[in-house]
Amino acid sequence: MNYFEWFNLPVSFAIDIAVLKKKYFELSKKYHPDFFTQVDDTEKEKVLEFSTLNTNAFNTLNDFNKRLKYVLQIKNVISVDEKFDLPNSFLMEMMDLNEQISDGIALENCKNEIENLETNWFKAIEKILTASDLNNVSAADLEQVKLFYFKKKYVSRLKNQLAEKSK
Amino acid sequence: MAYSEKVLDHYSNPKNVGTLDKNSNTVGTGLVGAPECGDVMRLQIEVDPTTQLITDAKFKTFGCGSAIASSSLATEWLKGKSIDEAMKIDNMDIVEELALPPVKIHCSVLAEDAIKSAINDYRAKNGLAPIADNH
Repeated sequence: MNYFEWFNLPVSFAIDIAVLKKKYFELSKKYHPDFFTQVDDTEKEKVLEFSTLNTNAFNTLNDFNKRLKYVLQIKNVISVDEKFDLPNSFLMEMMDLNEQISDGIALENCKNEIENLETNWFKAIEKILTASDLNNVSAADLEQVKLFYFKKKYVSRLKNQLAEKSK
Repeated sequence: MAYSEKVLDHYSNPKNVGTLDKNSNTVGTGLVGAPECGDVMRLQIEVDPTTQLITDAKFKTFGCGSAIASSSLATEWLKGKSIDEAMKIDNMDIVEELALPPVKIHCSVLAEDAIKSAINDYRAKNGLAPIADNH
């Protein structure tokens, strides 16, 4: 059973967080070990398994980046230790931004540039990312999301470096 | 996780940090990234056209200690080697030398990829076919 099935939600990059939370709390209550003190060990184990699954499922789906990765994984678009080559032009751009940040040059500009990049990437595939289910999403669309997911990793590194510099 | 002495040494005193002229025909530039952590590594070699030996190597890496140490060590090893010898540098040699833990092996792979990509950039500039990566 995948995490979406566990919560009875359609597979999607965009989920209603309020609904997710509600379902998570309901299931947390349902499988709380305190309610199963009188049952035999096999059942205790089962309950513990469910409550762990519930927590893992919630933590994964509640976080946008983790959710992206998870959907791409269950759709078999990325493997666990995927080695993915981004275009050289992209790496060059990331190298330049890293250099600017580490040299402390025009940090405010860097910050804006990074935010613009992210916004533009998101906008380009907004339809896919906000679709309530993936029924009309093609394999090519998923490849786009994969690219987005990996590009974001580089940006998140840049943001951490920026935060360090501005301390 | 504890870094080995050698990693720490390369991390605090990285060798050969810098840039070579990427437009020069005698310079090969390798630019690689680690998508899982967002690290980027640039490694450059300068090749003597007559002897075909690597006379200089520089790198710049934005990444964790192991990634910096791996590329620093790689540039040390590259100097004085022929292209063929450089092609034979294996990531596991780096792992062994730096005593990298399993979770950091990918940093050494990145350095090996950077070496191969720099060599092939040099070859492409000089009208030579790329050497296939048998990884």
